[in-house]
Amino acid sequence: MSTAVAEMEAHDHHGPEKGIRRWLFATNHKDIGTMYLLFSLVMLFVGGAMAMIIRSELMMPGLQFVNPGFYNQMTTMHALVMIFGAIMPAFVGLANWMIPLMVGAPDMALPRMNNLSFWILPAAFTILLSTLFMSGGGPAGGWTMYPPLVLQTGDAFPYLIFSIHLMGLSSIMGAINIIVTIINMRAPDMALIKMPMFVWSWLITAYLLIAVMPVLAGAVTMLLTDQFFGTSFFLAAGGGDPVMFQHIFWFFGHPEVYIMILPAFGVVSEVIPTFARKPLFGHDSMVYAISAIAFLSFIVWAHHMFTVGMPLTGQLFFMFATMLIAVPTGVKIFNWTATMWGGAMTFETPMLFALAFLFLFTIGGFSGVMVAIVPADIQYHDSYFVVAHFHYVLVPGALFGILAAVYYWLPKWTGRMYNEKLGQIHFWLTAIFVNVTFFPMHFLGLAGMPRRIPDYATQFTDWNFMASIGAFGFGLSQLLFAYIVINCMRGRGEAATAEVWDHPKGLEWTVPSPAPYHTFDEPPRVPPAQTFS
Amino acid sequence: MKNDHRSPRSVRTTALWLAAIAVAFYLGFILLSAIRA
Repeated sequence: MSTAVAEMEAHDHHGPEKGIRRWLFATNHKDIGTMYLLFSLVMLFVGGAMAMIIRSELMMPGLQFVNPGFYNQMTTMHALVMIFGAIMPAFVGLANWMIPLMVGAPDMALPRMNNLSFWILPAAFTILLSTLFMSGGGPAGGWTMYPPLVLQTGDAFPYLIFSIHLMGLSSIMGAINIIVTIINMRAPDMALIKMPMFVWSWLITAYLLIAVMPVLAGAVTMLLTDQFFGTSFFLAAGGGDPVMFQHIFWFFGHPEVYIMILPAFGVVSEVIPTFARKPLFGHDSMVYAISAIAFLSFIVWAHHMFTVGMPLTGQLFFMFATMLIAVPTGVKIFNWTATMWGGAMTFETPMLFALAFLFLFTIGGFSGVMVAIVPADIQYHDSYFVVAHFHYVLVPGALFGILAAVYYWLPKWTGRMYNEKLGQIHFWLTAIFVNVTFFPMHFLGLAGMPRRIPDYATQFTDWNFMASIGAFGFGLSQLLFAYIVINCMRGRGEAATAEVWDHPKGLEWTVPSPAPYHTFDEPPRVPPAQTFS
Repeated sequence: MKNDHRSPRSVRTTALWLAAIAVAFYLGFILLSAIRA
């Protein structure tokens, strides 16, 4: 008997496997989280390189470097890589690493499915990126894949559809895993409503993913059958309706925007209380606000397509429903501000990124209200104003949320403090260049410059030149980020304590730094603020 | 593992329900589109 028990105990406390098997067959949430995060970092640079090509071409009027066909491939692939390859996997990586630690679970609920969710992604992106080398090149009709234009894609088309299916499958499996972990495996004393905000934001995000990723998959399946199997879902010549694709796509696409931002809300809700040294103001109202945003995200999709024409009642409904989102978002912004009010604040790098998020995401929110107004949107539509708007939401919004999270939890992951001075330099370079890049795009859009063009009229030259300089600076600054992260991973820097920061709240700070390979083998004692009482 | 307080059945049930919802949304949207087209 003792042998069997000893074997079981040995199995329970084994360390990581050696070599490549540790990563190929990984079932440990920390290993899988690390792989997701590194994958998204690589994709950030791949998508970033495409952005550099775009900005090089747009630096001056006239055609400089690439032909228009390749330029269109770059805009399309930049979006697909950044959305599905960089932002979403980064948040799933953060979820994998932190959710079990934050809810006191020993691992994710379905570890082998977790492995599959991750390893599908490199395959999907290898397929997608390989289309750039095919005759006819990669997809070039925009990431929205509107028919009939997308049906003119060459050999790349089925590869595009297949890779989108794979990315969707990966996201759905990841979302199922996250929900099951939170619902079934959190520490017995942890009340659902009192869970950490990052966990709450991910719980709601995971439900959004399960609701809308299958819709995207359905839409691209129908594109596939229209192209190869004689159906006419979206082909007007066969009795189909191309505008229906836009409705279905944006029924996915708008919640997708919130899938990319809600976890960032969660991160900011963790970071600000730590560095303001106060509990989060209005924890429960934050949960309700995120839930309200998630609900509203399902009933605003047609604001992306006001110009295709719809009844006045439709325009009014989608306009007002969109504006309504400002209410729960305002609740969150004011709650974060109230958390800082009277706090003993310090400004380490994660806090700087969280504060920049607060200011700059709000700018993106304001321009969002502007484009929600139907008569104004008909002017703004497909202009650089829209490009400015969604980049303000996604870069100083989603990406800054990720950067804040990485700086905040990196010492917990690696056991090493990052170099604070370099972190601050990275922050200031990033924050300055992001505005130099994207703020001029508002002016370009208002002056009438359309998006998705490789050349433009000469009156747009100055602001484009400025945006390109900003983009190069922004891109180079991220090399510093990679350097800082790699340094910590290689064990350089001061050793981190278990708490890392000044008395942060949450179970993740009760385990040593770096977090041991297996944590919470026994149910932890939940902090009083998170119990049912 | 002493912290394995989850019930395997509840894990499986929750996961299968969520997967079923995903499949229903996928097929449902295609079906609705087919009816409309």
